Amino acid sequence: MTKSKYFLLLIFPIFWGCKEIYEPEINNTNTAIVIQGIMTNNPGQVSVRVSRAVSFDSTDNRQPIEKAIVKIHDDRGAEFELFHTSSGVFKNDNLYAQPERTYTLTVTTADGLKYESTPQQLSKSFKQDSIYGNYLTKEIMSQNDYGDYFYVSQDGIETFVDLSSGTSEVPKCRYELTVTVLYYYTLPGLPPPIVYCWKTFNPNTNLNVTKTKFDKSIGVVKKHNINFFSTNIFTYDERPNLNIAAFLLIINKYNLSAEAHKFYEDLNNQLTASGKIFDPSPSQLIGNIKCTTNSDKMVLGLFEVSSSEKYYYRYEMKRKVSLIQRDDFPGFTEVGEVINNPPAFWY
Amino acid sequence: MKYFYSIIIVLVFLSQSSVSGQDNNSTKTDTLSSLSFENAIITLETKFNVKFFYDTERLNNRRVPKSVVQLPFELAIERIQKISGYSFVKINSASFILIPLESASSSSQKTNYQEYISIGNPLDYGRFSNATIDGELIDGKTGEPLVGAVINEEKLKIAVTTDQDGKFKLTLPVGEHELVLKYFGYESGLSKIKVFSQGKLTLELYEKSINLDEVVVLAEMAQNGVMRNQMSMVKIDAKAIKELPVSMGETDIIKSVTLMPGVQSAGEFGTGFNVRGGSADQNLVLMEDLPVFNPSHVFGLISVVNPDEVSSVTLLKAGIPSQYGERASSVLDIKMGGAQSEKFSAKGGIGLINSRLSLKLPLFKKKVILTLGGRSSYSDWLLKKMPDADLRNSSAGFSDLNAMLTISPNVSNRISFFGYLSNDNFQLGSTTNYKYGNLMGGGRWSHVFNSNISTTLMAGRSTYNLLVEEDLDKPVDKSKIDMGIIYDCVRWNFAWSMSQRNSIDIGVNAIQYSNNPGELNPGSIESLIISKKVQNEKGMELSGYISDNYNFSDKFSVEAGLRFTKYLFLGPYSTREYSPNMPRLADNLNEVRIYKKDEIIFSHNGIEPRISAIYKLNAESSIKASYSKIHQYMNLISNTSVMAPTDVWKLSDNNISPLICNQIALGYYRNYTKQALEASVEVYFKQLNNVMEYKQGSKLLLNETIETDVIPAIGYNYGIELYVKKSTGRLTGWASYTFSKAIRQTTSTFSEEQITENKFFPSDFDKPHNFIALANYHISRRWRFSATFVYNSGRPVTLPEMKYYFGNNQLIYYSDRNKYRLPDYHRLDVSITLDESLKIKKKWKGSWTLSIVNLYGRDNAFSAFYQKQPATLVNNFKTYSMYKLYIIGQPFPTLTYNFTF
Repeated sequence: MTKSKYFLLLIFPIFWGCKEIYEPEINNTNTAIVIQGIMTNNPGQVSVRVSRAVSFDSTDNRQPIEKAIVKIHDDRGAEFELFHTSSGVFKNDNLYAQPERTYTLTVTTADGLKYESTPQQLSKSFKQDSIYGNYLTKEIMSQNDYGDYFYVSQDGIETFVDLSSGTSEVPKCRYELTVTVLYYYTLPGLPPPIVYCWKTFNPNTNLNVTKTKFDKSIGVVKKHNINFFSTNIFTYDERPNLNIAAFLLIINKYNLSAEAHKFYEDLNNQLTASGKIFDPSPSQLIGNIKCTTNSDKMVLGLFEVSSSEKYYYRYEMKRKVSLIQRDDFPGFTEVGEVINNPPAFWY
Repeated sequence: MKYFYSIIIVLVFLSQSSVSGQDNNSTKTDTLSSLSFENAIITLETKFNVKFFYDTERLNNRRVPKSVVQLPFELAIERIQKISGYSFVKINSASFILIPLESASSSSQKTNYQEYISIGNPLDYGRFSNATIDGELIDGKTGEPLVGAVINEEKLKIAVTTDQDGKFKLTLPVGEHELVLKYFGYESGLSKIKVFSQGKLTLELYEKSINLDEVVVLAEMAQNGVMRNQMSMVKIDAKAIKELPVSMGETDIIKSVTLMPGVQSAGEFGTGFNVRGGSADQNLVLMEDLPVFNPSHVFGLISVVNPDEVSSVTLLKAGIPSQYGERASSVLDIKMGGAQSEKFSAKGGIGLINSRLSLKLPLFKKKVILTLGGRSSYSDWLLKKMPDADLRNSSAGFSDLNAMLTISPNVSNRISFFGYLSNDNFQLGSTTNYKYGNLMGGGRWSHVFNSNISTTLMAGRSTYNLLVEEDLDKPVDKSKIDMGIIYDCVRWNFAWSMSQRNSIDIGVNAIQYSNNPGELNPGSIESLIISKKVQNEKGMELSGYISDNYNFSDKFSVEAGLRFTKYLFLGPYSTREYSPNMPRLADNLNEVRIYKKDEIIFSHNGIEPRISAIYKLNAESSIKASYSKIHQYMNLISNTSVMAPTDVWKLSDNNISPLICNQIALGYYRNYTKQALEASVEVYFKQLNNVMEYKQGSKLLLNETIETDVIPAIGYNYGIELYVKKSTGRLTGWASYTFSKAIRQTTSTFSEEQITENKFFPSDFDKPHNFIALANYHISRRWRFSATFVYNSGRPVTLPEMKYYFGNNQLIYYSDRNKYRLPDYHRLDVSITLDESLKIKKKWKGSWTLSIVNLYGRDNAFSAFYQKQPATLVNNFKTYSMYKLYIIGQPFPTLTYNFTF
């Protein structure tokens, strides 16, 4: 027995530190422009972000391009210009996509180069049949002051949706969502004043895209996980004597074309690469935009024309979790704290 | 054995049949002139292609009459024994050690006398005056033929020697005779025979038993490498296997092969090995002539071959004889059955990861030998202690069983049956489970017509099955994917030794491939997965070959062969035909054609010339050259850098052409320092056509149109391998340096089918510099220390060159394929072994082996990848970095107890 223990000590360290930061010498001579365009069937959701990619070992991160002419053209010959707002983001709040129409994005930069997407048609909508949640305890990695990683158990809620297409096509959707925690505490006094607080966060670390692995479920997606978040108030606010009242969920669901869905799946694969031994070799993200004036110029990104829907839910946290749909959260702000008078979206 | 510090071992190519050409009666001795002992020995060594080892200090002052070296081999050394007062002890077929006579006699047995053996039909007595005996002399223990032994009818002064197959013909008058049998290193024998008429006779001799504790035989010894016809060959027998490095508690046959020049592995993990720049699926790994589709347990941590069950291992990297085909790069021929012995024996080992047991059971007066072996792991407990949640929730287990039954009803016939089963179960985290295993079975019948003609017929089946269960934690997504291969074969070989200079091999092979590329099914009742199946594939490879080995002279010989293969891809199958002169994309699908069962869809004829030649410059050196062409009709399509369990086997069809490999190789071989050192230089050049490269972002699993995700490429592999080996003394081992390149190029005119715009790019297996040093040191009779050092250039990788933001996510743009390299790889492994007892009479013999892998704890990068830093509450799940993954980052000790009884 003594001998066994001795070898245990010897064997365990080999799996510690299975990976470490690697800083290879990169010899990059490429340059590329990055275009991220989205257009939905809702006004105010058309935006194009133009920037430059930087060398991987550069300390810069974002290099926005602010001087460019950005236009969206439809298949009837009409063109709509987008205007620079800030940090390379171009918008036109009056514009929205219409069914049966196709749209093309063009970006002309100050050096005269013109970039153009392939024509995109507004994607069809996939029905969100149901939404539901349950309590779950998960192991979440954390890090101490010395940089060491360790796992902590975290109680929380995970949320799922069921989708259907009404045809044999597998629903292809992308979810953007926020969760708002509503909590409160009391101050000294009679009657004690109640302080109502709320904070909004994005629980997803990666893009949330429905999976079509092997196209394995025809016409439906069941139990697609859209989030997991902690129900421990100390995750959000470390002050003592806080009480959670509820959680609010705001969902933006984008219905994707096959091309856009493939792009986002590849993107997710890149983001979620874990370096497992048998992971496939890395691959580039292939978008739908090209430089029409110089084919040697590299352009990265995607122009997506998606139908979208917005959903509002409030989590009822009883013995079981249930989600109550609302039409809106009136007066909603992402963060706030008020005394005695809770905001309209509180209840 | 302190006398033999200066021992040099050299081995043999040789035709000892030259002895048979000597006149046994020419025994005149000229005592007036004499030679120094050393010169006499050298003369005999040169004349008979053998090597003697002796204490030069004690013997070189003695003189030997000149006439002695004129005598036939047996008589010459008999005289030397008398002159020197020393006795010859045989190490192998051509190496002898002189030891003091008293030592030899102490362990000698008295001459074996046998009862009268009747030859021919007694009813024929009196019909003939003379009769010819077709005889054979074998090792009584192993059954191996004894080459160059002398059979002497002393009264009639008629003597013959056995040929290369241990055969002899002796014509004697009808009646009783006494035959004296002599063979060096063996007890002399006396056989009494009664000859009635023509007939067959099998005689046995037994080896002398003298302990030689300071002679270590590693792989094949020196002169074999220099003098044998085959180039680029590594042969390891059961005895040498014991001397191979120990890792993870036991000798690993396949990992040991990667310590040879020109052979590399991806690292500590990953199935298979790469020979001269080829991918792992280009190696034909044969176990008892049946291919092993997955040669690794636990995805490469340990090989599926139980080392105690191995009789010999032969690796051929070039000049592959025409008997072999199917795979483009190499042949690894593993013969099972353990060490050659007809005694009951048991062997085993108890380690921290697995234990093993092997039994050898002689039955029915040793006419039937049953060998059984098995291993089983118990590594789950290790994983449960891991700090990583994925690993902690993982489980890994494996087992293998093998059995071999050999029946030898008479000297002319041998029938053997072989079976093998391996199972692996690996659950990664709580989500994915892999179960896979090999199942093989076959039978072989060997028949010897006479000393010149023999034939072998074998038939067998090898299967490989993989089951992947995914999303185990999500009942609605739970799925299982089955994949598998069935390989059926019949092989027939006919060997004819037309003369001592000329021998021919003729044979035919028929192989049927049945491939299930993947079938998806729901993993539970609740699962919403829709079943999906990629079409089964069926192919047939028929081949015939002829090979002639001709010795033009003692110095120059050639083996020339021709192999013809006919490949058929058969229905039922729906083929996809794409528009000509267009890139092969789903959009360009022209037609789907349905074929009925066994209808020929695609066929390919392959003509494969093989030639290899040797020119012996002198007794110490030779030059060899070879050319070979091989077609490979079954390929493993992979987009990972190491063979992964989910890689897909694919048969050649109307869209995917067979891989064709042409290789030329040239080598110079030389022995140094009285043949204590063997050295060689080999250069090679390979040209590959139709190498399958994957497209960016391709998904290979359950892909019904896999041809749209792969691109045929051409490849060139070339290199130079330097090798030096020391096989004798307390310190043995080898060192090698290899410089090599393995490059690929796509040639399509369509951008969709180009990689790096059709410029050359390094293959995944391009590691230009490779240095290996392996040393075994016998500290004493009981203690043995070994060390292995490996250095490789880093593996080619594709790394990020640019970064950019898409929304809030930092993304990356990758370099051209394999533009960069991982850091260089180097590792030192050591082990020390203590034998408990060397006493011959002690039945139970145990040994302890402590091995430490990666002694100085080098973090060798296995792969590099781009990843978020571990998502934590602290970093808000949003920090990204490049990481390198390493498998064994710290010294890894294991302790194993091995035993035999």
